Amino acid sequence: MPGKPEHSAVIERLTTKDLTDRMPKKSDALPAAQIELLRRWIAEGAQWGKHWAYDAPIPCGKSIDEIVEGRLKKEGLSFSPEAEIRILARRIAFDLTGLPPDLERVDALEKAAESDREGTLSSFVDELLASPAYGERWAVPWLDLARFADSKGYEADLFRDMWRYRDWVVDALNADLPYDRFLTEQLAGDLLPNPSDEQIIATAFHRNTPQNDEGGTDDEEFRTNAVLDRVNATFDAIQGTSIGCVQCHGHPYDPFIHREYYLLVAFFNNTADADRNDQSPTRTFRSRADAGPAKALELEIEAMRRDIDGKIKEPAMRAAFDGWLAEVRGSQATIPLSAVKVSSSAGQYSAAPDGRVRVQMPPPERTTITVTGSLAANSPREISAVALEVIPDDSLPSKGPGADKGNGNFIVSHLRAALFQNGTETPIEIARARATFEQEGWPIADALKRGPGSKKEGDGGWAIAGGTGKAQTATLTFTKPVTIPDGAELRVVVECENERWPQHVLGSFRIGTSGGSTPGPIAELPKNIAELLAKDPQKWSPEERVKVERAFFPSTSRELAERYLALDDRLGKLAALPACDLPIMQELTGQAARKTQIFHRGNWLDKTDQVQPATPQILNRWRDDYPRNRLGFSQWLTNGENPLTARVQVNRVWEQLFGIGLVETLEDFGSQGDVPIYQDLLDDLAVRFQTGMKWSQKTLLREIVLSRTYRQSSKATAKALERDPANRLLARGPRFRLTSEQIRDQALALGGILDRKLGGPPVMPYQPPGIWLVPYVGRDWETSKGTDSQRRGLYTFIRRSATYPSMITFDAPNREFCVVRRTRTNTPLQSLDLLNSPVFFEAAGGLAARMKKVSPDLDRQLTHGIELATFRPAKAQEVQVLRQLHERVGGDMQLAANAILNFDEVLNKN
Amino acid sequence: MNHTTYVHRESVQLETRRFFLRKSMACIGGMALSAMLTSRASAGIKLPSLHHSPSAKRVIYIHLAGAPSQLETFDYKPDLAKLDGQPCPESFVAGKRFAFIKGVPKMLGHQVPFGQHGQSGAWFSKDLPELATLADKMCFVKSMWTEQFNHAPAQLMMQTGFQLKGRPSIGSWATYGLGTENEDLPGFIVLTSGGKNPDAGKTVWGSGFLPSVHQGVQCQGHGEPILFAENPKGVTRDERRATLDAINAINQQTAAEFGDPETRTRMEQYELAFRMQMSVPDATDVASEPAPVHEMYGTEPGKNSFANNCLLARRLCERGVRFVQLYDWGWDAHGDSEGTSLNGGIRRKTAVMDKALAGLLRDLDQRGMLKDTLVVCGAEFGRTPMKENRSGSDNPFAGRDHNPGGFTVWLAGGGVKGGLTYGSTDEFGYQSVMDKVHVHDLNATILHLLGFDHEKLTYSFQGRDYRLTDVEGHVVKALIA
Repeated sequence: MPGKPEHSAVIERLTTKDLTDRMPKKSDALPAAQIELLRRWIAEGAQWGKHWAYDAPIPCGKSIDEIVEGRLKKEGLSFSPEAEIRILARRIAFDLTGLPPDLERVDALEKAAESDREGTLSSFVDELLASPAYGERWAVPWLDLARFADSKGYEADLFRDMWRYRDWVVDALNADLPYDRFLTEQLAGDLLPNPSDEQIIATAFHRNTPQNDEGGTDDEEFRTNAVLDRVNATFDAIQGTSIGCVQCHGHPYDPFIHREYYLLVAFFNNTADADRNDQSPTRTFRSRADAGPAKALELEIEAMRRDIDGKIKEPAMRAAFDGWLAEVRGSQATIPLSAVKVSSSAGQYSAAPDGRVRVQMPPPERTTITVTGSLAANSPREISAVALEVIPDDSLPSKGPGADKGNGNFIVSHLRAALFQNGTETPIEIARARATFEQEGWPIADALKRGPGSKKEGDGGWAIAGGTGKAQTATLTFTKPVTIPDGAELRVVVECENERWPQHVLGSFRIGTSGGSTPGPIAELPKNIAELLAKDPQKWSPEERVKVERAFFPSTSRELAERYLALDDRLGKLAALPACDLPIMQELTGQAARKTQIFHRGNWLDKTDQVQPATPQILNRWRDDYPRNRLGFSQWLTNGENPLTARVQVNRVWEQLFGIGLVETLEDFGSQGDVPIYQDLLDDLAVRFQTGMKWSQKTLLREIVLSRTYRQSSKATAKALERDPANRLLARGPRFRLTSEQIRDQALALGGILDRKLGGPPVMPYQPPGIWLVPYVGRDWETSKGTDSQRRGLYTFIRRSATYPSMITFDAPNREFCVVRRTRTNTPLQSLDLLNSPVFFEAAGGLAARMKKVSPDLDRQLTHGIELATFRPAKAQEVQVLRQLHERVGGDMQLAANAILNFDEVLNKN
Repeated sequence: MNHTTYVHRESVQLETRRFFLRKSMACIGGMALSAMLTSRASAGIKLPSLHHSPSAKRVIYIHLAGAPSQLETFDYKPDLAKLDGQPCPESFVAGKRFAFIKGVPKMLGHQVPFGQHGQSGAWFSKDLPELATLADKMCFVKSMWTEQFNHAPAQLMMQTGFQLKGRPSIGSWATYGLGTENEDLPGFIVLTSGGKNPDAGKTVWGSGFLPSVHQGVQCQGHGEPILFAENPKGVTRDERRATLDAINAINQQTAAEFGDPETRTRMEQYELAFRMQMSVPDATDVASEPAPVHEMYGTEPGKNSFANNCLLARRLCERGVRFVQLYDWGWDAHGDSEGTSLNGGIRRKTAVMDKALAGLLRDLDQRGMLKDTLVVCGAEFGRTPMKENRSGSDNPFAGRDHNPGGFTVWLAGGGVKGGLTYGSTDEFGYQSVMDKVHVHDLNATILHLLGFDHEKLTYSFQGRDYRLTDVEGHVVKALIA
């Protein structure tokens, strides 16, 4: 009721005599003077200023140091002295590259700084900013926001190719892509005119949302979750605003209303992805380094294919191919045995006149079936192979062909053939076996040998789960053709004797033979080609036809064979370049466009009004020339009028360097967030970041790390701690624990075993067994080979449901959702990891080797170890402590190095 | 430093830490785990204080992941048997979302006979003969319900009070509130069996936005019980001691030079780690239990199993661990194979569970621990009274689909009423109808037994005060003795 205090509910509540209604509750009434003040304020129109963060920042025209020093003076404080140059070098190196500097480089720096401290530091900073390690270090906090991971999340948590996006972030940072473009390409790269590959890759930013592949889930529900997650993450990360609250109701503290949330949802609710298991839409990319060579190979392959095609389309070649096709396809026809007799060790099996053998229900548990019969009249007398044809049958569970009640599967644990004459069996030697279908871990080859099969369950054998309900054939090719004399019979013994799965016996099958004077060429062909030959050539896909041609034509001429080999070579080279099948953003248009409705109380099943994309009223004005899509949204975010975009990013950079933001609550610039002590500093940097610095993060970082404020010593007196425990006033330099990635990278670097290779698919360093026990998905952690297990922590495979333990122990998030600030804990699990885990202990071994190399003298070795790790001169007392340790552990230098890697000073930025 | 300055400095630090705790998740650096885990008075850290006097000092929470059937365990419905094999009433499926059921499924009667036990006459299936002898110690909530009908979100709902990942688990909330009684062990330990982790992954024992010291520490069934608690090969305990002495001597110097309180905290952590290297193997040495104990639980020493974890839970509680969370995977009785059939594989699992849990309750009772140890046994949802028909036709074995509308959870000890059966489902065991208890209500009740008002145990994160029960939940007073 602006202007009418007499109708104001506020004044009523403050002045009522009724104690149950009067505010503040259960305490004395406000003093009359205060109530009068409120009354006057309402009478004058109840003007309410905007919360500071929603007004545009105003520059103050002072440098970082002028602002901070001015404030310190007012507080009766002053700057601490500058940190020792060697300590400072280490601090800057970690802040810009996430790695310790090189000891020799620090020696040189110290020397050069004696004559020109400013110039030396300045060029050191430039050198680090130009290092590719810069992008790797600064990618990590952004990947926390992007919830980047190598798996999809939820129950199945299957793998997904996202690494090319991670590499994009590293590359973009290294190229110092201006922050406004950095955001635009990630939010709307696909909507830019003629987007480049890199701009499409950037859009995977919002494809990092978890995806649910659990059986029986509603894809629309999880698509909706992903869209809402995109809105929330965008505002958490880029606007420092907890917009998620508004999903269900108006914001409890900040001026955002329920409806506005869905106006924002409308920007993000129009992409083609829909929580489908195949993650479409996706596009295949290679790493930046591989993209050129891959393109060249692709062109070369195309030319070679054209060349081969021209050759094999010649009429003579065609005719040769067709002739061969007729021959091989003919040779694989099998002819059923006739006059079949069947016996079994358990259960009842009987043979029909057509040779078909069926079990009588109920089926037995474990049985050996012996089938004996004569060659059919139309069969050649000389045969080269015998076929076990398993046939579905309606009388069997799930149509068989197995008799197992569950799924129609069976296990043939052993299979052999023999010539049967005058009551004696003469075994026939089998050269090889092929089957039209094999269950993983249950190949037909296992039915030729006894004992545990590939799966080591029971006694192994051939099974077909996944291929039941259809006819399948196993063909056993003899080592040489066998002539069946008149009056002799062929015998095939089929054992279904698996101990673990006794119910997996055959239900319906037939034995056939195939003949010819020589084993058909088909037997020489790989299984996949044999399978194709069994199909009607008219039904081959173009790719399948190419495969069959590849199998045949090399045999026709040496020249063609060589061309095929050359093609194989290029295909092999192309396949060796890792490809990333990256989920991307794709806007829906026209009929396909989705409509967005408000969810009543946030419930996605309860939809009300339809809405169009728009931005919140309290923030900067929308310009009419912006398209109402993600691109327009990005323009609105980055046009220099948004009061939050630059502030939030400057604050994040500040937090990374100082351990605490100018606004401590990075994620909340709203009224419940922290009020900045140095708003003038934040605002000045924010304005200059988007104007003079042209959104360049490197320029911003350069200015901060060269400031006096940053270069202060981090040593704190008891008095300073008491006055300002969290160092909000900045009267000393930053000191805090390194991140999980930095701790790992440092240990490997100091141990001399860090592989600095950039980018590419994620790697799997050593991980204790038993971490990955995810339901339904049998993918294992396979430790990477060679130095791939010693890459930077950034490249470690991130599986959301079971993240790399050491990362979690040191507070890295599991990347299931956008994390704006990492916790910094100090726990005994960290101590155990650093002391005992193979990764850190191996690094200690590496450091020990470096120490021992420097000199035969023990003290010199220990001194060197301390200097390698801390970058400052070792103190006599420290060397003495290590010497005592060395003695107590029987001269084991690895344990001395292990101790060094556990120094508080080594685990911290000082 | 004179006494007055000392006291002043301590109180400043206390205030600082309180500020950190309340205001942020990023700056809890000043907090030592040992300090958080030991008695709050001596550590000088203000954690949320108890809101009332607790009846339970610790919790053993058993989650049967995959969700067993209430209709083959505790929820007996004579009417259901009569409908066995008949098409289910239209109203059962109209407007409902199922994971796998299609069209109109058939009703499925109890697959196991039932009987009444104890003074209270509680119903038990015949597959639970051991637990049945403890009927009067157990408190059944037969009217549980949730909104989630897929495993991962439903498990998250049950364990974190929210269906999406990112919230702290109930064990994290409990230790955030309570700290621990043992300086040598973590306060929240997780034990898994059944060969797999729960469907929702390790988030179900994560600390969400609470300080990560409160996350559940998984004690592995094989290999090292706690990761890296063992020294590297060839390194003796004396050598480890020597290493720590050296680290501490140097850190002492660093602490003096930089004045960073974190350095002293780190020194304490290394000492706790060193003690854990002793206490963890001792606590987890289940094999050292005498033969009659193994007989009672059905444990086979050296073998990772559900029974083993039950016994381990008792040993951990004995040593002051506040919250032991067990997950047993493999209860998803769809009947799509013999192993997941109610009359096959699930019965074998039930027999193991019956013996182990009965052993646990008896053992806790005999040791006088049951009175202040709360045992909770539940799952993420229940199962349908209809037979599952996955592709429109019957599954080959007796199985039931997911049912969020009605399921049973039982509690024992820790101040709950023994021999009580609270609430009920409809005549077919499908939907909870009487005295319905939502997941939030159960969680509110568990926190109440631990001495907390669930509306007051909050944590401020990204601009909002969060709690385990979100914005809902009522304490079910009737369950409390």
